[in-house]
Amino acid sequence: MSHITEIRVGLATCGIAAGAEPVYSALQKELAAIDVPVKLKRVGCIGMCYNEPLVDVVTDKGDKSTYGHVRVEDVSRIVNEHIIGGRPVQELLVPKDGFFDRQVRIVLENCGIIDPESIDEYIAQSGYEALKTVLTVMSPQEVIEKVTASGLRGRGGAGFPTGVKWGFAACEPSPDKYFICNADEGDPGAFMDRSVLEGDPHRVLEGMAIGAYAIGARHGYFYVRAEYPLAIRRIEKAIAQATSAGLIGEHVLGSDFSFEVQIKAGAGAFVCGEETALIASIEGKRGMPRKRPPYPAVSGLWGKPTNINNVETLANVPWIIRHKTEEFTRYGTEKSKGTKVFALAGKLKHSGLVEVPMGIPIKDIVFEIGGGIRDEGEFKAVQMGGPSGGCIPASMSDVPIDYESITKTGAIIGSGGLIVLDDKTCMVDLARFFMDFIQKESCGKCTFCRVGTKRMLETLTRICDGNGAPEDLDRLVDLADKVKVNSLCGLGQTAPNPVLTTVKYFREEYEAHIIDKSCPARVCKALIRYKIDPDRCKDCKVCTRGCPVEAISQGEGTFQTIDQGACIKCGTCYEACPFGAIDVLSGVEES
Amino acid sequence: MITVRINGKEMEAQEGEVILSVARRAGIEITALCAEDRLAPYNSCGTCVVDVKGMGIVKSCSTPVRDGMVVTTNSPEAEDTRKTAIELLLSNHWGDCVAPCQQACPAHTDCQGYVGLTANRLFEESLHLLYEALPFPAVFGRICPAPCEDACRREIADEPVQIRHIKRFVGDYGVDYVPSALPDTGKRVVVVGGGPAGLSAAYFLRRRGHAVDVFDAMPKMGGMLRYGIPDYRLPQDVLDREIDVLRRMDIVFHNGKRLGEDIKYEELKREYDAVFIGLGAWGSRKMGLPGEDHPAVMQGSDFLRRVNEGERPILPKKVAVIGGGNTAMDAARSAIRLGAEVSILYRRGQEEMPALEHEVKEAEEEGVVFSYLTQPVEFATDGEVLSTVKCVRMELGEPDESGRRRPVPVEGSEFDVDAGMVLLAVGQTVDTSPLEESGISLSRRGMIVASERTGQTSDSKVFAGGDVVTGPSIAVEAVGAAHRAADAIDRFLHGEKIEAPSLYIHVKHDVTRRDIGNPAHTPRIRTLVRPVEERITDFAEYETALSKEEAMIAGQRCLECGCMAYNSCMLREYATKTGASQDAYAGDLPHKGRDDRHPFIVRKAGKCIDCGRCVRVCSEVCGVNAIDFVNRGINMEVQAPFDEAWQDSDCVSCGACVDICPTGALYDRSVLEKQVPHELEETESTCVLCGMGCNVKILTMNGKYMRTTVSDSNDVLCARGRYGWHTISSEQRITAPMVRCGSSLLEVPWDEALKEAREQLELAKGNMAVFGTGLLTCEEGWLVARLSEGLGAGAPTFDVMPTCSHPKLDADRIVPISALETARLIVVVGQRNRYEKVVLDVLLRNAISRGATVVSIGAKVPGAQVELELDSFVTFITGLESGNMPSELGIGLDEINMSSLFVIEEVGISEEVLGQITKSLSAHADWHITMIPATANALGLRRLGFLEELRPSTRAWLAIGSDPLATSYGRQKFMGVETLVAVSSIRTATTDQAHVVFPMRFPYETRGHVLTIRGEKKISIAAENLIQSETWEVLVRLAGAFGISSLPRQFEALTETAMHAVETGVGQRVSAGITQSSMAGVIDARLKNLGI
Repeated sequence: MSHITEIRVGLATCGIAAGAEPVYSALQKELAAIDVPVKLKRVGCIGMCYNEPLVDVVTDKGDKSTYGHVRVEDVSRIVNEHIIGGRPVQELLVPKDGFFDRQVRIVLENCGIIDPESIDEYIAQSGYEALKTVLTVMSPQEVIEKVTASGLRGRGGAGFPTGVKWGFAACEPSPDKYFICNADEGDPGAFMDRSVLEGDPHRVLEGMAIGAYAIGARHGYFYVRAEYPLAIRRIEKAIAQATSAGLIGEHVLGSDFSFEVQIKAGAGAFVCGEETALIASIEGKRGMPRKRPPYPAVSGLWGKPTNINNVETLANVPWIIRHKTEEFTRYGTEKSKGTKVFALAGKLKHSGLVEVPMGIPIKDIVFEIGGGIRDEGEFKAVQMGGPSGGCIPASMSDVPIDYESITKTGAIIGSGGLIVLDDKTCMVDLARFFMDFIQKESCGKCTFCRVGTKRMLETLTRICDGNGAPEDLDRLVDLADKVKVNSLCGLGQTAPNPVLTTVKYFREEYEAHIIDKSCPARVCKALIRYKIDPDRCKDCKVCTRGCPVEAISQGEGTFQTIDQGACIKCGTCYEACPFGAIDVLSGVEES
Repeated sequence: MITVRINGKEMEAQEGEVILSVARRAGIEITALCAEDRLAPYNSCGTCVVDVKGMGIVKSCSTPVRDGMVVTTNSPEAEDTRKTAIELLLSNHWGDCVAPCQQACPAHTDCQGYVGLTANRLFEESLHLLYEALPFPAVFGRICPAPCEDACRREIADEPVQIRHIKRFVGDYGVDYVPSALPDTGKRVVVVGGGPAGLSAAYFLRRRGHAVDVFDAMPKMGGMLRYGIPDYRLPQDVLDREIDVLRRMDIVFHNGKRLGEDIKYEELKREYDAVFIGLGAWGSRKMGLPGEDHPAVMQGSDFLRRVNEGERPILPKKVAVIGGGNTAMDAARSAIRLGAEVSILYRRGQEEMPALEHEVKEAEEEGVVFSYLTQPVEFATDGEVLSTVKCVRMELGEPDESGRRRPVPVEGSEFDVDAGMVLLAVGQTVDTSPLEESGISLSRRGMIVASERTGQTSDSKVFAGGDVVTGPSIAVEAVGAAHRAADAIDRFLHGEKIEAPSLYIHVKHDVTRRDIGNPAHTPRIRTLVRPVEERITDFAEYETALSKEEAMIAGQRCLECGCMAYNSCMLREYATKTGASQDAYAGDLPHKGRDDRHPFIVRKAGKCIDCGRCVRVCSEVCGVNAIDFVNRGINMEVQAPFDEAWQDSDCVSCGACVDICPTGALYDRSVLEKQVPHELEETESTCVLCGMGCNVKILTMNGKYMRTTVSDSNDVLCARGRYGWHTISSEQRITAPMVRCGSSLLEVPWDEALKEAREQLELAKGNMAVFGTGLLTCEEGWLVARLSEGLGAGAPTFDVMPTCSHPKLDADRIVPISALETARLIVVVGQRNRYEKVVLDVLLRNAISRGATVVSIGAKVPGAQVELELDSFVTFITGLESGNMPSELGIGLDEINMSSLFVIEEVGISEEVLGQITKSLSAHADWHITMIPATANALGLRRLGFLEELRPSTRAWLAIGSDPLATSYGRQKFMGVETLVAVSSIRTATTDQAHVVFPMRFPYETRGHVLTIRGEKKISIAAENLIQSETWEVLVRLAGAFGISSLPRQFEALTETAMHAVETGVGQRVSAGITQSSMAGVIDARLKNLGI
């Protein structure tokens, strides 16, 4: 029989938000009271966010029992029955659901397994071996060649080959070069980078050091948004630990390579994820992009050659160095190698952090990993790449996830946000949502982005409000195309994607709004109305009591009725009705 | 070198050059709002897009050319994108290109302009401006229905500005003005019709230099203005006077010549180069009723003509006027004045009546009885006399095509109105029968068919305008049509394209009270109207004009809607070029107001297009960083930190942001209280207020100083030079000689003042001091030196406060400031104030960007590689000399070995510093120095022998342009001085103590030469003078009074003598004193008070 040696509590931001901290304290207290040699530790995101708080009980053989939705009051049972008694508490275990079956964990290798605040645990998982290898047996050129051969592409969104990028910066003769880790994850709903930094910060730091060695940089910056305090704390700790271990700083591991790293907390402007804006922000200027060329590789931070990679990209690097190139390239497609981490969200049964091999079809993520659509909804589309991305309809869900295939649809892989939409999502409203985000986050520099996105938003709002004119749609697309072509940076260039893809795949939904003044998904308030079906109404008056504007009153009989003029369409009655007697109607529909 | 093709044109280009600059070199203009020569490419506005083969649409401002690149600047895609960019900018632009009043005026009279000028007491300028668009201002100031006032935004707050009354005031003010005409073109134009259309056309054509003959059927010119409008509204002498202006412009009038009878159309067409037809609506519409032919039934217009010709017919007791227009009112009120009881019969209701409201009101006051909904059906006679008008009552039915409700007879409602005479005023018609054979296209209604924009008829050399084209309308419409036609005729005569492109006009919609700044309630000034009982007895004018003060106060109510950048706005230019529309992308548009907090720079945030030029010039060129963008997306805007007023930020008021702003979002205040968009005259000159000797452009209006700006768009000025003159009000100026009488100074004639000065100074002859000031020209300085010698005062002095003495420098080691362009190590030593240093800072930044190393010692040079305090100068220079630089100074060996250029600002430099430099210079042959004196002409005056120090114990002082008593040093030296004579342009501490004061001109009112650190420069007379004599003439007169003769009497001779003296003068002493001019001192104190 195997021994239980370790208990892991997911204490990344997701776990903390779900209440994992009191669970951890309770475990600490309970374990202190018993005399069992078991290690309790904080780990990063385990991935199954839909089951937080999560507690893993691990044996010396590595077998793992996972408890989900753990409450403080469950702790003593787990300790007594499982830790002491050796019998897992079956009803508290997370049921097997295939969530991990299709996943391949390279970036998330250590996430949820090691204590992110312990350099020793990282080292125990072969951490810093890659750095040691490059410093001792590889020339910078060989590092670049290996990364290039791996086919690793930038995971921040653009998918530029990492090795090639390093090659550019390496060519610059300057003695002062910078290596920046872009951790300004800004897409609403995306949390891949945060999870990696919170769960395995040394891995990113090691990736940076390897990259810095490859390009010849002495200075490194973590550009992290200030909204990620835990990630910042963990990076700080990792830097301190690595520095005292001689893994960064002067003469790393006794070599000629010196590398010092600083953290710059960004104020959270979306555009600062764009590399030139990011550089301006580090320099203390307003975060506004500038025209490239010159590329940062030639003239970046303080005018010096600079390389910028995203967190996930760098997290791949130590693994690639430690393994044979074929180990990495066996995952993925011809042009997109390795894995990709996604933050799965939306109308799925299982949402969370997943890492999948490139090339996996969208539908496999939705149905096999995500467990399909919840609440009996119908799969309608996925939205990929955040506000810069686009929507891919369910009919195209066998498209493999690789850079080229996704780009062909009009969406982008982006940094890894993946939102699953069901039939209750209005595509016009969705486009409006992203456009609202973008126009607020536009830095304001380019006319097309600053004014164009605002005017696009206004058009979308008009359409959602039922005030769209037939010519609006073509004008919207025309303006969207111009914003795409004429904006200076990626923000503006991709801002129209949600609009363009929804118009492309769901044009009839736009037309329903404009011509029939109807919202097929029954979302757009101006176009819907709630109606109580007298036959189904049991006259319980739950709706009437809940209505904030007293728009519901007794009908002529034993049922309630809604005064359409007074109704503000908040949906409270619809949610409250225990008998499902309220219909949402749109357009000319009659009950 | 690489080769690119732009619009089919092969161009050689440098590697790395951007498309925009190559295109511009090729003479291909590409619109670009954010790109500017001095600034790094910014890539924001999206208007400079071009089509590059293989790349598609790219921004030319930042896309480098590549060998073999094929660029099209005007492909449909590029044009479409450009237009969209402009339209997006316009959709977010809150402003009016042109004030709504001007827009509403059919003649496009610059109402805001003349109202504003009047408010500023610039009546003459106001009149000149009026005449640009409107001959006969006094006439139109009386009779115009003033559509301008209907459009006036002031109505949102209280009542419209009294634009018409101000026009009347200005028209009456300008009795003697005769507008000038361009040189004769040799072309001859004939005008047929001497009414408002014909006379206006004649006027505008004559101004263009064409010879004009006007033919009219009536005995006198004026048309309907003379024969249709009663004298009580428009006195004949007012009309005569303004028509006479045209005669004085050599327009030839031919009266009593009727077209088709006395003159033949074909002949005119043959004899003249172009024809303008401006016939009036002299015919009258008939009603077709029984009895209408009775002699007592008369056309109102005929009646008015007879009265206006001086007839005073005896009328029957009761007169009925039929009609509801202004002619009906004029006829009725004229009849009242002839003693009749008058009723007006109108078939619709009061609301529908087309006559002006105040006309109706005044007619009622005068006793006219209005009978509405009354339709005459028959004029019944009782033998020879007319007895009654048979009428029927009407009621209003459905609206007709004019939008007014159609009157319908009420059955059985017939009634009689007693009347011994009937005046018909139911409409006028134009008689074009003389033109029937002409071949010119006529409309079905008998009007000439002419282009609305050019007045051109179907015959290309024949133009028409006014009633003959539009049918009866208001006179100001005819003026507008005539103006457009005259411009078209002018282009026709010059063989140009007849149709002029129309400029884009941006308009503010939905203006609220808050948008106009919530002005305090100030109603219109009630003009006096003669009492009814008095005015109905004669035909004298019944309404009085505004007084001068009232006109100014009335003008002050103007809200200044029109844009100050109306003729320089690039957005407007591009909107015109691209045919963009302001509503194409209409959406949310914040109503951003005007920021008036800065004393000199007005900011209208609503007009900002976020191109960032101001922000970038402030940081990239001036190194000041006073402003930046705040907020994101559409809410982004330019602000000083924390929305402070700009002058509370680091702003140094250099105005570079104003100069670079492509729209009217930023503009300089002029010296006027009310800002007026107006063309200004420009004169190149030199600023003398500090030692930099900057080129400036003095902007004036009709010879009056308005503001100063840069001479070259790449220059920068400081607050003192640019805005300094704004700080001095006219009350502080000295305009006449004054002699002390007790505690006050009294203005006296020149001779008396000269006599007094001579008597005073002669007592101290041989024991006196003569002061000059650094802003004197070389010519003036030379005269001061002669004066000083002649008075036995020896060499003149600056009003100087010496701080140290020091050995002389070799002249060849002193180099002009242009040495900055090549120097590699520049050491700047000085302590200028923050606004003043900006000009030197810009030169230094250019040097830095060129690769020079700048060591700033106490000078706080932005971007300097080494920044030291003044007290570390000695350590620094010792280190530099020995090649052993203390490491804490952060200067490498490379720099130490460079040849050095020292830039020394004379103000505030200690003896120690100067001594050290002179010593070090003697040991290093490759070190040079440039000294920046405190005033522009310090070098010139020193060469003329001006000394820095004041001799001890003098009995009398003669201070010329200087203010020695402004300093405590001067006041101390003043002890024991018995007599003080001052020559000064403004009141100063010195004039307050003076016994005799002579006036002196400002530097922009004078001429001469100055020797600056940038070489010899010229000062030109830009503005007219309050003082008749130039300063050099004052000095010559003064010298004459002291018996100093044989001075040059001609300015040219004086220049020659003075400049020769400068060239041969010894000069080039290194000063160690404060020689700041008195004027600069006064200005500085005021700038400081303003928070600059």
